[in-house]
Amino acid sequence: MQDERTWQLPATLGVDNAQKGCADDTLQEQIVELYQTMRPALLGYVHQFVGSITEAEDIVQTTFLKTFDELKTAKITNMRAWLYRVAHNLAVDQLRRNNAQVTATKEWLFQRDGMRLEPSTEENAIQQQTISNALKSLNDRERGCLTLRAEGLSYAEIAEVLGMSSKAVSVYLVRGLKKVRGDL
Amino acid sequence: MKRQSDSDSLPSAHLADEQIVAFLDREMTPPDLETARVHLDTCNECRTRKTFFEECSDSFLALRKTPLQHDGFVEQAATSRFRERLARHAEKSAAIQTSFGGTWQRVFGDGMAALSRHRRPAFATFVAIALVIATTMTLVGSTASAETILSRAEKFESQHRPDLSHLAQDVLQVEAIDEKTGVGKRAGAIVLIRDSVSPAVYMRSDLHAGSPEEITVSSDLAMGNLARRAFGSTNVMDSPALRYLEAQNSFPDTSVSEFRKLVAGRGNQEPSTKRKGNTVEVHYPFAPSHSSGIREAVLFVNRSDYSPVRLSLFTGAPNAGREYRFTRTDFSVKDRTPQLTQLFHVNDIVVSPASTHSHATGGVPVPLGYANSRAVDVEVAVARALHEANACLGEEIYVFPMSDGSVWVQGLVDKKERREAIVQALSRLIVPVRAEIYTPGEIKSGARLFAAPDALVDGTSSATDKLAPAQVANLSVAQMAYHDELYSYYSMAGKNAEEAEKEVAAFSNELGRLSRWTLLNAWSVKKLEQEFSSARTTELSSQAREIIEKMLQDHIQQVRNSARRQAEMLAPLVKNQEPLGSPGASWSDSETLLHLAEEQNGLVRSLFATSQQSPEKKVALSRLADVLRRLGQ
Repeated sequence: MQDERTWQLPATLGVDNAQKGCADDTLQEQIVELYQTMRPALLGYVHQFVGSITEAEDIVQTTFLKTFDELKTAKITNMRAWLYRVAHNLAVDQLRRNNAQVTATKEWLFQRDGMRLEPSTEENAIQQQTISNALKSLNDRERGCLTLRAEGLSYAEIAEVLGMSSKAVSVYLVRGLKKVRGDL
Repeated sequence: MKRQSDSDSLPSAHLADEQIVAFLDREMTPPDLETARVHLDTCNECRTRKTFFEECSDSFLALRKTPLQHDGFVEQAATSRFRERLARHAEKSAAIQTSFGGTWQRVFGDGMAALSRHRRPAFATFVAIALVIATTMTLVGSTASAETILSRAEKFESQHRPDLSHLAQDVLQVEAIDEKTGVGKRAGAIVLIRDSVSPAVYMRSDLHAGSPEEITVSSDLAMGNLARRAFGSTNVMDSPALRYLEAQNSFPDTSVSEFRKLVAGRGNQEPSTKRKGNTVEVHYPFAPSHSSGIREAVLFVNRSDYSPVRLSLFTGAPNAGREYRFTRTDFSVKDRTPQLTQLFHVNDIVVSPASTHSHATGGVPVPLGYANSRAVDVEVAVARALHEANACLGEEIYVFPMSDGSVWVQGLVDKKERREAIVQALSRLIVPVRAEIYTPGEIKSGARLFAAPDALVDGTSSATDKLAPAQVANLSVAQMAYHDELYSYYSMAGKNAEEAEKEVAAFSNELGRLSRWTLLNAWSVKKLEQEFSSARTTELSSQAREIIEKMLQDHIQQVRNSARRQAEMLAPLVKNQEPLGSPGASWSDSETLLHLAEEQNGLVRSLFATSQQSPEKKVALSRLADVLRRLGQ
């Protein structure tokens, strides 16, 4: 599932290299470099959950702080899956705290419409409603699988992020895709 | 036919849905992939389902198209903030590790590493240990660590932070207490109001003799300034303690952020907590003989909800010194009214490191005209946020470069809901921007607007003045110039009288809407070029320039699209007419563009809206067709 939308992690950090024993300053620089590379993708992913750019930014930064702590004492074998898993868990926690799912969807739709310069029409309003219905029809696991797939993660990585088997990922993807299409 | 659901073996039977999706995602082993490809080449049914899933996938990708635009300079700012946060985090965790002890750390670290290899038993063990510790702690009545209490208090503060349309007001009672005698003296009260839109803070203090002291600072970078102004000319606080507050850039209120700044320079003394009644005390002792004279700082937090309620600073020897007590006597959330917003007109200039201007004179920052200022990247980010909220199309919303290097947004909108939408769009910016957006009612009640920045250049009127004012016509004798032609056109198309009238009205409305849209976008092009003229953009980053170009192209494309649409609508009326002279050239500058847009708007109004004007119809229509053609090129 790797395609041109999939970015590469910086070579200095690598995906499979343990950072144990790395000097603190060097590790900080590597984390900042990683942050610069991954921030846009993670920010977009988290934003879809929490619906607030400020909260999403905070969650993304916290994700990298946790990565920094982890790398000081442990090995991270798949950096991308790790980052998405931490960010996902933090976003879900935040969502539970805020009960912000409805707000997130509304804001997302608002922004989506706000990007357009043409005035809103009845047709737009109807389309927005159908999109909203389609998104609401997905459960958390289906939405998670579809979103991570769209971010370019492999099934194995999605499975790691969401804590399920690759086969389950496959099943949720099919169900999610059918729902999206069915409701539109 | 039975569908195969096991991806390990691919028979000649139909592919399962999961296999088709896995095929699309290349999530198969090469042999399975090849087998599936061969099957799909020969099986119509599976090919149809493959197409179905491809469409599903496209639909989802279209739905989740990210609304976040990423650009270099915003990312640079974010990276800079993250770098600072990471450095603080690393420093803090290093301090915790040091205090924990190297041996124990190694033992504990290795133990945890070993446990991590056996997650489930390790988790069960962890839960059991945690339960034992929690029970024991409850039994002996001890409390969580100082850091935990501060974090909980911070969480309380963030949960009670007012939204953008409200402000938070704190009232602090200040007392100085002799520890030896226990006699206290009330020194006065301080009111602090924090802006929810910008980082500005307003303070009113009655600690001074005479009239209360009022001051507003532009950001939390100036809290030390605030402390000096509150206590400087009073004898409430010892000079060394006050100097320390200034050096730490801290104000002694009960907020956790200020408390953290206050104790950051105390030396390597371990904090502790105590539980007393309904409060938890967070004790931060200072190093012996600390230059500030402060012995200890204590934050008192409500035990039930972790709201900070009091700050005490102890100076001098234990039981023989002095306690400065700052008690939060009131906390309220107020509407962000224009009157309260006026409080945040900064009167204490603190030029931030990012500031590139040197106009600050120590007085109130003033808006600068375009001729007197250079554009900065933040200004472009603000302009783009307004652009995305469509606040650049005819509304009187301006981005003001200020004399202290900050950027303000000020303007007038027709409804509060519209203001909320614009403020919301600005709040998504990572950089803080002051926004003062009023409704007409608020302007009447005394809110003040700056002159538009382009008017500040040379006193000439702003571009908005060029928009044609709405004309009130006497409709009793009015008619649409092309009514009869349109009516005939629709009647010939098989509409009855009522339906034909409705079609004519719909045609008029749509053409009017498009001509207005063309004009607004042309005006926006002109406005953007004034705002970001070549003279002003010399210091902008390349990303900022790209954003400006993108906004310009957006508007130009809208002009073209709406002009072409109008031309299409008018085609049936124009087709039998002779062209009016030689066709005009396309526009080459924003001035001509705006001129043409104004002309098409005027022509549409005169020909296709009910009005008393009676233009030379055919000439005017030919002219309109030519103008639209030039705009659409």
